[in-house]
Amino acid sequence: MEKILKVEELRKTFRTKTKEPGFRGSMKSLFNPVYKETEAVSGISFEVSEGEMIAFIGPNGAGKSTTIKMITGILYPTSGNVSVMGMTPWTDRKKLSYKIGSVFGQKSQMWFHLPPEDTFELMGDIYEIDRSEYRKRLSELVKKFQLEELMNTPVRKLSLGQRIRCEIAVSLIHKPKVLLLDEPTIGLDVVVKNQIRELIKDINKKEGLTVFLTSHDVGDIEKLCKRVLVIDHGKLIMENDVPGLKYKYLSKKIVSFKLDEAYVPDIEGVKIIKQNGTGLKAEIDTKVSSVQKLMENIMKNTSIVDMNISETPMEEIIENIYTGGGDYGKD
Amino acid sequence: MKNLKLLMRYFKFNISAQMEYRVNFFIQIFGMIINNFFLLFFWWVIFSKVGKFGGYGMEDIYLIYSVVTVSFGISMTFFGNQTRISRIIYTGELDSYIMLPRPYLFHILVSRISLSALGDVIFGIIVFFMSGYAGFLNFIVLIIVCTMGAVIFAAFNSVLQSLTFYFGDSTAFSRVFPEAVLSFSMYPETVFNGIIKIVLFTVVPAGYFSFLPVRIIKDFNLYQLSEMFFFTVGFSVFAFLFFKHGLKKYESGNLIIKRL
Amino acid sequence: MEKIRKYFTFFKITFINDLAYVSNYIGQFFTFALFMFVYSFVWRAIYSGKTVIEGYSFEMVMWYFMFTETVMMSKYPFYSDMAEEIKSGDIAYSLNKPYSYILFNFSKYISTSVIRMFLNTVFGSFIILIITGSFPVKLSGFLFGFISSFFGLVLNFFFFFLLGLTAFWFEDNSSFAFIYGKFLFTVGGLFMPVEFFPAFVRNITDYMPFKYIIYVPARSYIEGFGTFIGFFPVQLLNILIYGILVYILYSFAVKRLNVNGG
Repeated sequence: MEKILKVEELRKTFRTKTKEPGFRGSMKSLFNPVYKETEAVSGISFEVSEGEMIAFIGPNGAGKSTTIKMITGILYPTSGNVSVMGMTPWTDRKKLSYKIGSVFGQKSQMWFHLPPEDTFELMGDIYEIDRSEYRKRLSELVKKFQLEELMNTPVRKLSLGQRIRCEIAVSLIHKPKVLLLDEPTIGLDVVVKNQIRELIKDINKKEGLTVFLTSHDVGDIEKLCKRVLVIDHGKLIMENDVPGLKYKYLSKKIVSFKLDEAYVPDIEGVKIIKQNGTGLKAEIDTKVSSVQKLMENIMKNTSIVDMNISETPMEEIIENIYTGGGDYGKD
Repeated sequence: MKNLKLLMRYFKFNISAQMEYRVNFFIQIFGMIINNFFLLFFWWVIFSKVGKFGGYGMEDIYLIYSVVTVSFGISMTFFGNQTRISRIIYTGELDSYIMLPRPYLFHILVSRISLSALGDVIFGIIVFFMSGYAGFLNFIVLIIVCTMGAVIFAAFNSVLQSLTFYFGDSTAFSRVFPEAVLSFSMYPETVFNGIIKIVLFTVVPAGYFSFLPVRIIKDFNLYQLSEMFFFTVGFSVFAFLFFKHGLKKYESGNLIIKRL
Repeated sequence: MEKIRKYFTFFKITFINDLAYVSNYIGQFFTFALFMFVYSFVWRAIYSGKTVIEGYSFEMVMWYFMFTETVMMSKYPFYSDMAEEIKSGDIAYSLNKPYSYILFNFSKYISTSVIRMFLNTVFGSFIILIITGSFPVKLSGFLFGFISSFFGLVLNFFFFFLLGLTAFWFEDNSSFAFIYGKFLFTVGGLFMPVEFFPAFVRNITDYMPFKYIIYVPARSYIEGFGTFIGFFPVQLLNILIYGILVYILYSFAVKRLNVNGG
């Protein structure tokens, strides 16, 4: 598939003023500033295909927003290259902005006291959309996002879920090729979250929209994206597809049994977490042993009444990657 | 006494916090002093154009400005929250004060200290020494009457802001009235006459904020000083009671607060 | 046309947004009326025993003050939002949209300011008519005063934008805003017509932009076309000079933002 975004060895160093303590230090830094260089992004490379949904995650201060600012052309990189649809963002920023849509869950672009329709109209004009085309696109989005009843209510009277639906719809008014989503489901309840995710999925499928998602919500990543980039300390510490991520880093499985009679297996790679009468809970390291081996061992001695296998939840994997726990390095 | 200690603690706390941004802090104070000198421009032009009028000259204007800015400066410095009470009520921030064992209104008032208002105090002291009334004893009197003026101004703001308890959104009132007190205060007493004079010693107490203190400094007499004192105490008590009564509405949950 | 239409839409939407909140102006009207009321006492005292000072009667000074105060209170102080945007880094979102940040702010500013201007003029004239009981103003003055004020507002825009830009370098810009305001109060002619000033001060004001924001519009209200057109070339020249200055500074600031993230 066509690569819509190419990032090569992207690097960004900031100069920050250092201030000595005390009043003299303040005056000195005002008239004769001393600078210190800090590297926010240190050599990131990746590619995104057209129509792909990709998650971009990392702890706060990892360099996520600096990278996104460079991709959208707000910040100039210290070195390295970015190409978005064949354009260099910082030289073609205005041209590029017609092709990109963005939703920031924490920052509304709707006019708070006016009905959504006004913001739609304004955005239509900002992106210089022809009137008849605008009306066509508007009715399309209104239908898809079910905004018929919201269009004439002042935004301040909408619920958060309704507002986010409007935010996403408005960001699509100019038919962007790439959609940047920053924490799109923050603060929403589970039902609304899923509704929003379905909408995004649908648009991605029907319009071939490329979605670049940053989120702390693992559900967003799991349900929407096939691939995930993890960034920390300005470096890409992992690049993987989401199922692969789970497969690869899910070396541990938790199995609970209900047995016919009490039994405690003793094999390499299996750790007993809990044993209570006929109940048994064990953790299997699948690199050393397997569920099958454990089951065979048990069934030689007794029979299994019931069993349940569970995986490490995604949250834990991500937490592990951030904290550097386990052997989750860049492959 | 305990409460005075609380005030001093907040003062120290705020000073060290603001010292983190010293340069900014000095720009602010210096800016405020320059700002106030600009206001004298009006009188400077008027007196050079028409000469004295109504028995007032430039040195009287200096004294008026001195009294008003020192009082206002002290008030804003030590009772930095006085214009934010309404906000504190409708955002629910009030709850965190209610949970602490201190007189609520007093605690709210002193918990924010605006050091940039010190620029007003410094300005006021400078113009005091430019006025024809400079002198050690007069300076003591200035500090005493201005401290009372500061309390009156804070109490006045508290009453206006407490209206939020009774009427919900009352920002129109709570902005205009303090503005009115200051506007009337900046001019010689003799300019105003008739009914307006009564208003200025009642609902818009510019009389106690400016006219009476100026009279006391110009021509010290104990009778007027005690009038000032009793008004200060009486009005403060009223402000406390008014707040307390409003608070009852708040606590009983009968308060409908219109989100601004 | 497509490229310009967006700014008219900004203008229009800000306009609707403000109209929905006309009640917000009530507080402002109170303050406005109060200032005029206090001032009428002060000027009456100053005029005691005199009928005319520098060609202005008491009534004319009051009308003059009403008009300067109208211009003063109509300027929408967007610089504080702008400073907030710069400090929080939110300005990046605006820079990333296909519009000019300067024109975007200008559309919003001029829209709100023009509404306020209109409301203040109507309300102020009413109040001042009650206070002075006289109408020493040419009717056509309302038209040319309004036009002159519009250009005064444009000139003022560049100073507000400059105040917003200071947020790139200074943590708190309120003292700059105060001082700018005081320049308008004094040499701008808010308190009294510049004819009242001593000669040397009056000479200085000719070389400063401030009187073209306050004094010139107010006098155009009172005297109409002649005054308006007499000052117009220099008013326009000021707009040009400060417009270019602000544009250069803005480009400089944005470059800095692009390199160092603000």
